Amino acid sequence: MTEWWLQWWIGLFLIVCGFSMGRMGPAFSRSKIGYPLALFGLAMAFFSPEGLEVNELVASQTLNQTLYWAAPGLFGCYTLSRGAPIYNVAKPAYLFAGWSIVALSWYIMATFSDPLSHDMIPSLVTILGLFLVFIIHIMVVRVVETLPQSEETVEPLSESEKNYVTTVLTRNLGKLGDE
Amino acid sequence: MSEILLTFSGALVLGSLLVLLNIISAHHPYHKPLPLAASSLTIMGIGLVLSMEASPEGTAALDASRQSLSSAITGLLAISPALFAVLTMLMLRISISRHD
Repeated sequence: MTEWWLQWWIGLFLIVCGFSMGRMGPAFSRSKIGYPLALFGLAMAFFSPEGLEVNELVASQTLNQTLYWAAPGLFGCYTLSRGAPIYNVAKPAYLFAGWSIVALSWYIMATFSDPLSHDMIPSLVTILGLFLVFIIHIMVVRVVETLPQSEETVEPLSESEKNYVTTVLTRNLGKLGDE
Repeated sequence: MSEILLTFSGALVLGSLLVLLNIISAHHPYHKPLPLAASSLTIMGIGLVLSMEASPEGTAALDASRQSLSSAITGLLAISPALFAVLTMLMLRISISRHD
């Protein structure tokens, strides 16, 4: 028996790790390798190896079918978020491109995959299980937050961080002042 | 019934794994990861026991966890069109939103 099935699982874990690393911390000090790592994991999971069990094969095929419409869909949503109005200033080109990609994604989903073919009971059971873990997680976080804080003082912002915050505030307040 | 229990146990293991991977990947000096890691490992242990209970007699723990986890992943992916529908609605909302 080959152990190549591990590739699929490592790929899934790398997606989660990469996304967590990419979202961690303030915008000016996020990990640079987070999203590339997540993409690498996605490729590892997409090109599924031999040696998967029946349930893993079903999950792998469902993942691949989902990626065909979810990848353009998420890219479309990202484009839309770039074009959405900020301080009432929208970017119509981004909005048009974003909605076109999202519409294409819905078309791909409706044409090439059958979203209503799955049994919904396992999905509801999965959501229930994840919700339970989420509730316990929140309760533990609340308990942790009530524990006494350490005596360490937080370091002040560095010069580059101060410059970054000043630039962001000036840019946004400047826009408000122009209107 | 065993299939539902297998999926539920997989969801417990999947949720715990997500928390653990996030704790490891997103660690910073102001985190207090030990209580979260302990609770996640406990839930994962319960999930593994349940998945072994739901699997046929003689199934190894690793195989039982693989089956239950992949069932949960399939269940989660199956509901993704509904999640995308909600996301599309949110995008519609932010596309037309105005702040006076």
